[in-house]
Amino acid sequence: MLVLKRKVGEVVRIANDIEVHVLAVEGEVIKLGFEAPKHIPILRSEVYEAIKAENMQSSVSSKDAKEMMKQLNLGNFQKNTKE
Amino acid sequence: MSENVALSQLIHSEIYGEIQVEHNQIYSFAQGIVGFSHLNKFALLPLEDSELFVLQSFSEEISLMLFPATLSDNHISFKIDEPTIEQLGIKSQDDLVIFYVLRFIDNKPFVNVRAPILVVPETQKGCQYVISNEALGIREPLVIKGEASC
Repeated sequence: MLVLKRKVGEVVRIANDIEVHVLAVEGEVIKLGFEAPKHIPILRSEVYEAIKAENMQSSVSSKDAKEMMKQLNLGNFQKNTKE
Repeated sequence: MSENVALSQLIHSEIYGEIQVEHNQIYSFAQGIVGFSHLNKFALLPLEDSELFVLQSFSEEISLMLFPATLSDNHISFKIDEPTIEQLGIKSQDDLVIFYVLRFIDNKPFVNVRAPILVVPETQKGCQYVISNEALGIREPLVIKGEASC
């Protein structure tokens, strides 16, 4: 990991088009500003990790899927079955 | 078994076993899904005889159950950004089909409304779009349209 020391008001540049601004330090909280092209998603790491974990835990096996179908009691959005 | 079928492919799924996936069921996810950016090819398969779908990765055993947003009363409103519109090859947000990833915990259905799966049947492209609204939960009780929430 690259470690840099920066002061408030200073900037780190990543590649040609990403800037990370150190805006303020308030106690233990550091306020950062990001300038990046729109196609670069910027997320708090815990949000990313939480969605990743949710995706993993949502992945189903055949047994689960059939069980879920039963539990959901599909009712009004059950298509006509071919039975 | 023939070497290659022009418009369909064989895929192994835990849910379906070996299945033939039709060309029009194959979706390209340029950015993968969150946490799995290397998974770029998925099959979107109707789940048994329901309105639900399974998003099945070709290269790994990731199978997500998808609940159509139109059948849900979990209200979200969001505007996708330009790069996503470009990436999906659409003219406007109206061309999207929106699904929520569905999961069950203690026999109750939950959906991730913060990061819906967006697909475009015309271009056969899709993505998992993280909405920049922190009020939206990644695990919210599913509210089925027409049913009172409890």
